[in-house]
Amino acid sequence: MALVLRLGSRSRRRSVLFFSTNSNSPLSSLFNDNLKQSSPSNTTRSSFRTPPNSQPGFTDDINKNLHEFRARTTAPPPQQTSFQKQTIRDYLRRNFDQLDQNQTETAKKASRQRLSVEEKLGMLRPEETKKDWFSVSERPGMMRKMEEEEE
Amino acid sequence: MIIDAGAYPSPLGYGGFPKSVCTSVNECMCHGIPDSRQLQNGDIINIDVTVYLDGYHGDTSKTFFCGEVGDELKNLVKVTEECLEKGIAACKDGALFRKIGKRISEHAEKYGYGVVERFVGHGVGTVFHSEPIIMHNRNEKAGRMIEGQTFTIEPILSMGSIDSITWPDNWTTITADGSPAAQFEHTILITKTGAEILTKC
Repeated sequence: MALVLRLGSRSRRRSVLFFSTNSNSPLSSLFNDNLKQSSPSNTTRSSFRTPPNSQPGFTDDINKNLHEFRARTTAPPPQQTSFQKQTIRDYLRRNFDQLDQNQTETAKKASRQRLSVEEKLGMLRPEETKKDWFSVSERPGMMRKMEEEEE
Repeated sequence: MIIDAGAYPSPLGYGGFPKSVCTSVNECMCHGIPDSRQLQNGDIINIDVTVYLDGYHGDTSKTFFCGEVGDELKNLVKVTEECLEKGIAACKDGALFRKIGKRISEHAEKYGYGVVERFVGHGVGTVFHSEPIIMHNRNEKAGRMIEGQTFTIEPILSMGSIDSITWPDNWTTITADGSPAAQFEHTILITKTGAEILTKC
Protein backbone atom coordinates (compact mmCIF):
# COMPACT_ATOMS: atom_id res chain seq x y z
CA MET A 1 0.00 0.00 0.00
CA ALA A 2 1.61 3.20 -1.17
CA LEU A 3 2.17 6.16 1.05
CA VAL A 4 0.66 9.50 0.11
CA LEU A 5 3.12 12.31 -0.20
CA ARG A 6 2.27 15.99 -0.20
CA LEU A 7 4.54 18.18 -2.25
CA GLY A 8 4.82 21.82 -1.30
CA SER A 9 5.28 24.60 -3.80
CA ARG A 10 8.29 23.82 -5.88
CA SER A 11 11.24 26.07 -6.00
CA ARG A 12 13.74 25.95 -8.79
CA ARG A 13 16.34 24.39 -6.58
CA ARG A 14 14.48 21.60 -4.86
CA SER A 15 11.13 20.26 -3.87
CA VAL A 16 10.00 20.77 -0.34
CA LEU A 17 8.55 17.64 1.17
CA PHE A 18 6.16 17.73 4.07
CA PHE A 19 2.99 16.18 5.39
CA SER A 20 0.21 18.67 5.67
CA THR A 21 -1.48 18.62 9.04
CA ASN A 22 -4.74 19.21 7.23
CA SER A 23 -4.29 16.38 4.79
CA ASN A 24 -7.44 14.39 4.11
CA SER A 25 -5.49 11.25 3.50
CA PRO A 26 -5.79 8.72 6.30
CA LEU A 27 -2.33 7.48 5.48
CA SER A 28 -0.68 10.82 6.14
CA SER A 29 -1.80 10.93 9.74
CA LEU A 30 -0.98 7.29 10.23
CA PHE A 31 2.46 7.76 8.78
CA ASN A 32 3.09 10.68 11.11
CA ASP A 33 1.91 8.58 14.03
CA ASN A 34 4.23 5.81 12.96
CA LEU A 35 7.13 8.21 12.77
CA LYS A 36 6.61 9.16 16.37
CA GLN A 37 7.10 5.55 17.31
CA SER A 38 9.79 4.85 14.75
CA SER A 39 13.37 6.00 14.76
CA PRO A 40 13.74 9.69 13.88
CA SER A 41 15.16 10.30 10.44
CA ASN A 42 18.25 12.01 11.80
CA THR A 43 19.35 9.26 14.15
CA THR A 44 22.57 7.40 13.78
CA ARG A 45 23.17 4.66 11.28
CA SER A 46 22.81 1.83 13.75
CA SER A 47 19.21 2.70 14.57
CA PHE A 48 17.98 1.29 11.30
CA ARG A 49 19.61 -2.02 11.98
CA THR A 50 17.38 -2.60 14.95
CA PRO A 51 13.66 -2.92 14.15
CA PRO A 52 11.71 -0.14 15.83
CA ASN A 53 9.25 -1.03 18.54
CA SER A 54 5.96 -2.21 17.24
CA GLN A 55 2.85 -0.16 17.89
CA PRO A 56 1.27 -1.65 21.03
CA GLY A 57 -2.25 -0.44 20.26
CA PHE A 58 -2.17 -1.38 16.63
CA THR A 59 -0.67 -4.78 17.41
CA ASP A 60 -3.33 -5.43 20.01
CA ASP A 61 -6.03 -4.58 17.50
CA ILE A 62 -4.47 -6.87 14.95
CA ASN A 63 -4.22 -9.73 17.39
CA LYS A 64 -7.80 -9.22 18.48
CA ASN A 65 -9.06 -9.16 14.91
CA LEU A 66 -6.89 -12.13 14.00
CA HIS A 67 -8.35 -14.11 16.87
CA GLU A 68 -11.87 -13.27 15.75
CA PHE A 69 -11.09 -14.26 12.18
CA ARG A 70 -9.66 -17.57 13.23
CA ALA A 71 -12.63 -18.26 15.46
CA ARG A 72 -15.00 -17.67 12.57
CA THR A 73 -13.02 -19.58 9.99
CA THR A 74 -12.00 -22.58 12.06
CA ALA A 75 -13.83 -25.67 10.87
CA PRO A 76 -15.76 -27.67 13.50
CA PRO A 77 -13.78 -30.62 14.87
CA PRO A 78 -14.40 -33.95 13.14
CA GLN A 79 -16.92 -36.24 14.86
CA GLN A 80 -14.44 -39.08 15.15
CA THR A 81 -11.89 -37.01 16.97
CA SER A 82 -11.80 -39.40 19.90
CA PHE A 83 -11.02 -42.29 17.59
CA GLN A 84 -8.42 -40.34 15.67
CA LYS A 85 -6.60 -39.55 18.86
CA GLN A 86 -6.36 -43.22 19.73
CA THR A 87 -2.97 -44.64 19.07
CA ILE A 88 -2.26 -47.85 17.26
CA ARG A 89 -0.87 -49.25 20.46
CA ASP A 90 -4.12 -48.63 22.32
CA TYR A 91 -6.08 -50.11 19.45
CA LEU A 92 -4.06 -53.29 19.48
CA ARG A 93 -4.21 -53.56 23.26
CA ARG A 94 -7.99 -53.28 23.25
CA ASN A 95 -8.36 -56.00 20.62
CA PHE A 96 -5.99 -58.39 22.30
CA ASP A 97 -7.63 -57.78 25.65
CA GLN A 98 -10.98 -58.65 24.14
CA LEU A 99 -9.49 -61.80 22.69
CA ASP A 100 -8.20 -62.76 26.09
CA GLN A 101 -11.64 -62.49 27.62
CA ASN A 102 -12.93 -65.13 25.22
CA GLN A 103 -10.32 -67.66 26.08
CA THR A 104 -11.12 -70.84 27.98
CA GLU A 105 -10.20 -71.40 31.59
CA THR A 106 -7.02 -73.05 30.50
CA ALA A 107 -6.25 -70.16 28.21
CA LYS A 108 -6.96 -67.73 31.00
CA LYS A 109 -4.26 -69.37 33.00
CA ALA A 110 -1.89 -68.93 30.15
CA SER A 111 -2.95 -65.36 29.74
CA ARG A 112 -1.51 -64.54 33.13
CA GLN A 113 1.72 -64.56 31.29
CA ARG A 114 0.31 -61.93 28.95
CA LEU A 115 2.65 -60.91 26.25
CA SER A 116 3.77 -57.36 25.91
CA VAL A 117 2.44 -55.24 23.09
CA GLU A 118 5.73 -55.45 21.29
CA GLU A 119 5.66 -59.22 21.40
CA LYS A 120 2.10 -59.25 20.13
CA LEU A 121 3.14 -57.04 17.27
CA GLY A 122 5.81 -59.59 16.50
CA MET A 123 3.13 -62.23 16.17
CA LEU A 124 1.73 -60.30 13.23
CA ARG A 125 5.00 -60.38 11.37
CA PRO A 126 5.52 -63.10 8.72
CA GLU A 127 7.59 -66.11 9.73
CA GLU A 128 11.24 -65.73 9.00
CA THR A 129 11.36 -69.07 7.29
CA LYS A 130 8.55 -68.18 4.96
CA LYS A 131 9.58 -67.76 1.37
CA ASP A 132 9.29 -64.24 0.06
CA TRP A 133 9.60 -63.87 -3.66
CA PHE A 134 10.15 -60.13 -3.38
CA SER A 135 12.94 -60.40 -0.87
CA VAL A 136 16.04 -58.98 -2.48
CA SER A 137 18.44 -61.25 -0.65
CA GLU A 138 16.72 -64.45 -1.81
CA ARG A 139 15.89 -63.41 -5.32
CA PRO A 140 19.20 -64.45 -6.95
CA GLY A 141 18.89 -67.96 -5.53
CA MET A 142 15.34 -68.28 -6.78
CA MET A 143 16.38 -67.15 -10.21
CA ARG A 144 19.17 -69.69 -10.33
CA LYS A 145 16.79 -72.42 -9.26
CA MET A 146 14.35 -71.48 -11.99
CA GLU A 147 17.12 -71.50 -14.55
CA GLU A 148 18.22 -74.95 -13.43
CA GLU A 149 14.69 -76.26 -13.74
CA GLU A 150 14.38 -74.89 -17.23
CA GLU A 151 17.60 -76.62 -18.20
CA MET B 1 -6.33 -17.24 2.40
CA ILE B 2 -4.25 -14.82 4.44
CA ILE B 3 -5.94 -15.92 7.65
CA ASP B 4 -5.57 -19.57 6.70
CA ALA B 5 -1.84 -19.00 6.46
CA GLY B 6 -1.82 -17.57 9.96
CA ALA B 7 -1.32 -13.98 8.91
CA TYR B 8 -3.49 -10.88 9.02
CA PRO B 9 -4.29 -8.49 6.15
CA SER B 10 -2.54 -5.29 7.17
CA PRO B 11 -4.81 -2.87 5.24
CA LEU B 12 -7.97 -4.13 6.91
CA GLY B 13 -9.05 -1.41 9.28
CA TYR B 14 -5.85 0.52 8.74
CA GLY B 15 -6.85 4.15 8.83
CA GLY B 16 -10.37 3.00 8.21
CA PHE B 17 -9.60 1.07 5.05
CA PRO B 18 -12.54 -1.33 4.80
CA LYS B 19 -11.05 -4.30 2.93
CA SER B 20 -8.15 -6.72 3.13
CA VAL B 21 -6.48 -5.77 -0.15
CA CYS B 22 -6.48 -2.87 -2.59
CA THR B 23 -7.74 -3.51 -6.09
CA SER B 24 -7.13 -0.70 -8.56
CA VAL B 25 -8.69 -1.05 -11.99
CA ASN B 26 -7.69 0.84 -15.15
CA GLU B 27 -7.56 4.56 -14.34
CA CYS B 28 -7.41 3.94 -10.62
CA MET B 29 -3.79 4.50 -9.68
CA CYS B 30 -3.95 3.01 -6.20
CA HIS B 31 -5.95 2.32 -3.04
CA GLY B 32 -8.94 1.00 -4.92
CA ILE B 33 -11.50 -0.54 -2.60
CA PRO B 34 -12.80 -3.94 -3.77
CA ASP B 35 -16.45 -3.69 -4.71
CA SER B 36 -19.12 -5.47 -6.69
CA ARG B 37 -18.07 -4.21 -10.10
CA GLN B 38 -17.30 -7.20 -12.24
CA LEU B 39 -14.03 -7.18 -14.14
CA GLN B 40 -14.42 -6.83 -17.87
CA ASN B 41 -12.47 -8.03 -20.85
CA GLY B 42 -9.64 -5.61 -21.49
CA ASP B 43 -9.32 -4.34 -17.93
CA ILE B 44 -6.06 -4.15 -16.06
CA ILE B 45 -6.13 -4.56 -12.31
CA ASN B 46 -3.52 -3.99 -9.66
CA ILE B 47 -3.83 -6.19 -6.59
CA ASP B 48 -1.98 -4.80 -3.60
CA VAL B 49 -1.47 -7.22 -0.73
CA THR B 50 0.13 -6.61 2.64
CA VAL B 51 0.20 -9.20 5.37
CA TYR B 52 1.23 -9.07 8.99
CA LEU B 53 2.88 -12.22 10.29
CA ASP B 54 5.03 -12.90 13.34
CA GLY B 55 5.32 -9.21 14.07
CA TYR B 56 6.28 -8.03 10.58
CA HIS B 57 4.49 -6.58 7.57
CA GLY B 58 5.22 -7.58 4.00
CA ASP B 59 3.91 -5.43 1.17
CA THR B 60 3.66 -6.25 -2.53
CA SER B 61 1.51 -5.59 -5.56
CA LYS B 62 1.22 -6.57 -9.17
CA THR B 63 -0.86 -5.53 -12.16
CA PHE B 64 -2.71 -8.21 -14.10
CA PHE B 65 -4.50 -8.44 -17.44
CA CYS B 66 -8.16 -9.37 -17.70
CA GLY B 67 -8.91 -11.23 -20.91
CA GLU B 68 -7.65 -9.62 -24.08
CA VAL B 69 -5.82 -6.41 -23.32
CA GLY B 70 -4.72 -3.95 -25.97
CA ASP B 71 -1.07 -3.58 -26.88
CA GLU B 72 -0.85 -0.09 -25.42
CA LEU B 73 -1.97 -1.30 -22.02
CA LYS B 74 0.26 -4.34 -22.23
CA ASN B 75 3.22 -2.10 -22.85
CA LEU B 76 2.30 0.18 -19.95
CA VAL B 77 2.21 -2.78 -17.60
CA LYS B 78 5.44 -4.22 -18.99
CA VAL B 79 7.33 -0.95 -18.64
CA THR B 80 5.98 -0.40 -15.14
CA GLU B 81 7.30 -3.75 -14.03
CA GLU B 82 10.64 -2.96 -15.65
CA CYS B 83 10.73 0.32 -13.72
CA LEU B 84 10.36 -1.59 -10.49
CA GLU B 85 13.18 -3.90 -11.53
CA LYS B 86 15.43 -0.98 -12.38
CA GLY B 87 14.60 0.70 -9.11
CA ILE B 88 15.55 -2.44 -7.21
CA ALA B 89 18.75 -2.77 -9.22
CA ALA B 90 19.81 0.67 -7.98
CA CYS B 91 19.75 -0.46 -4.37
CA LYS B 92 22.66 -1.45 -2.17
CA ASP B 93 24.30 -0.36 1.04
CA GLY B 94 25.53 3.20 0.67
CA ALA B 95 23.59 4.03 -2.50
CA LEU B 96 21.64 7.28 -2.64
CA PHE B 97 17.89 6.95 -2.29
CA ARG B 98 17.36 9.39 -5.12
CA LYS B 99 19.07 7.00 -7.49
CA ILE B 100 15.89 4.90 -7.38
CA GLY B 101 13.76 7.74 -8.70
CA LYS B 102 16.34 8.58 -11.32
CA ARG B 103 16.45 5.05 -12.69
CA ILE B 104 12.68 4.72 -12.71
CA SER B 105 12.11 8.07 -14.39
CA GLU B 106 14.75 7.45 -17.01
CA HIS B 107 13.08 4.25 -18.05
CA ALA B 108 9.50 5.54 -17.97
CA GLU B 109 10.36 8.62 -19.96
CA LYS B 110 11.80 6.53 -22.77
CA TYR B 111 8.30 5.26 -23.41
CA GLY B 112 6.48 8.49 -22.79
CA TYR B 113 4.94 7.47 -19.49
CA GLY B 114 4.58 9.66 -16.46
CA VAL B 115 5.69 8.61 -13.00
CA VAL B 116 3.16 9.49 -10.34
CA GLU B 117 4.77 11.66 -7.69
CA ARG B 118 2.06 11.70 -5.07
CA PHE B 119 2.45 8.12 -3.93
CA VAL B 120 5.76 6.90 -2.62
CA GLY B 121 7.44 3.84 -1.23
CA HIS B 122 8.12 3.57 2.46
CA GLY B 123 9.93 1.74 5.18
CA VAL B 124 8.15 -1.43 6.24
CA GLY B 125 8.72 -4.05 8.90
CA THR B 126 7.35 -4.03 12.40
CA VAL B 127 5.46 -0.92 11.33
CA PHE B 128 3.36 -0.80 8.17
CA HIS B 129 4.60 2.63 7.04
CA SER B 130 7.76 4.25 8.29
CA GLU B 131 10.94 5.96 7.17
CA PRO B 132 12.57 6.05 4.70
CA ILE B 133 10.39 7.66 2.06
CA ILE B 134 11.11 6.27 -1.40
CA MET B 135 10.34 8.67 -4.22
CA HIS B 136 9.87 7.18 -7.67
CA ASN B 137 10.43 10.35 -9.69
CA ARG B 138 13.53 12.49 -10.08
CA ASN B 139 14.20 14.13 -6.74
CA GLU B 140 16.86 15.59 -4.51
CA LYS B 141 16.11 13.61 -1.41
CA ALA B 142 19.13 13.28 0.81
CA GLY B 143 20.19 10.06 2.38
CA ARG B 144 21.86 6.80 1.60
CA MET B 145 20.67 3.24 1.98
CA ILE B 146 21.93 1.21 4.88
CA GLU B 147 22.47 -2.51 5.00
CA GLY B 148 19.56 -4.12 6.81
CA GLN B 149 16.96 -1.53 5.86
CA THR B 150 13.66 -2.77 4.54
CA PHE B 151 11.39 -0.66 2.41
CA THR B 152 9.05 -0.82 -0.56
CA ILE B 153 9.53 0.36 -4.09
CA GLU B 154 6.18 0.76 -5.81
CA PRO B 155 6.20 2.96 -8.91
CA ILE B 156 2.93 3.99 -10.53
CA LEU B 157 3.05 4.87 -14.22
CA SER B 158 0.34 6.63 -16.17
CA MET B 159 -0.31 6.79 -19.89
CA GLY B 160 -1.43 10.38 -19.46
CA SER B 161 -1.77 12.72 -16.54
CA ILE B 162 0.08 12.02 -13.32
CA ASP B 163 -2.25 14.31 -11.44
CA SER B 164 -4.86 12.59 -9.36
CA ILE B 165 -8.35 12.85 -7.99
CA THR B 166 -9.31 11.19 -4.74
CA TRP B 167 -12.85 9.99 -4.31
CA PRO B 168 -14.99 11.00 -1.34
CA ASP B 169 -14.03 7.74 0.40
CA ASN B 170 -10.60 9.34 0.88
CA TRP B 171 -8.92 6.26 -0.50
CA THR B 172 -9.74 5.55 -4.12
CA THR B 173 -7.47 7.64 -6.31
CA ILE B 174 -7.76 7.93 -10.07
CA THR B 175 -5.84 9.78 -12.75
CA ALA B 176 -7.18 13.27 -13.34
CA ASP B 177 -7.75 12.65 -17.03
CA GLY B 178 -8.92 9.05 -16.76
CA SER B 179 -5.75 7.61 -18.24
CA PRO B 180 -4.88 4.03 -17.35
CA ALA B 181 -2.26 3.54 -14.67
CA ALA B 182 -0.24 0.52 -13.60
CA GLN B 183 1.78 -0.32 -10.53
CA PHE B 184 4.19 -2.95 -9.30
CA GLU B 185 5.62 -3.23 -5.81
CA HIS B 186 8.07 -5.26 -3.78
CA THR B 187 9.41 -5.13 -0.27
CA ILE B 188 13.19 -5.31 -0.35
CA LEU B 189 16.05 -5.78 2.09
CA ILE B 190 19.22 -3.78 1.54
CA THR B 191 22.36 -5.89 1.55
CA LYS B 192 26.02 -5.02 1.27
CA THR B 193 26.07 -5.66 -2.46
CA GLY B 194 22.47 -5.16 -3.56
CA ALA B 195 18.92 -5.82 -2.51
CA GLU B 196 17.01 -8.95 -1.66
CA ILE B 197 13.37 -9.10 -2.71
CA LEU B 198 11.43 -10.26 0.32
CA THR B 199 8.05 -10.53 -1.39
CA LYS B 200 9.00 -12.77 -4.28
CA CYS B 201 7.35 -16.14 -4.81
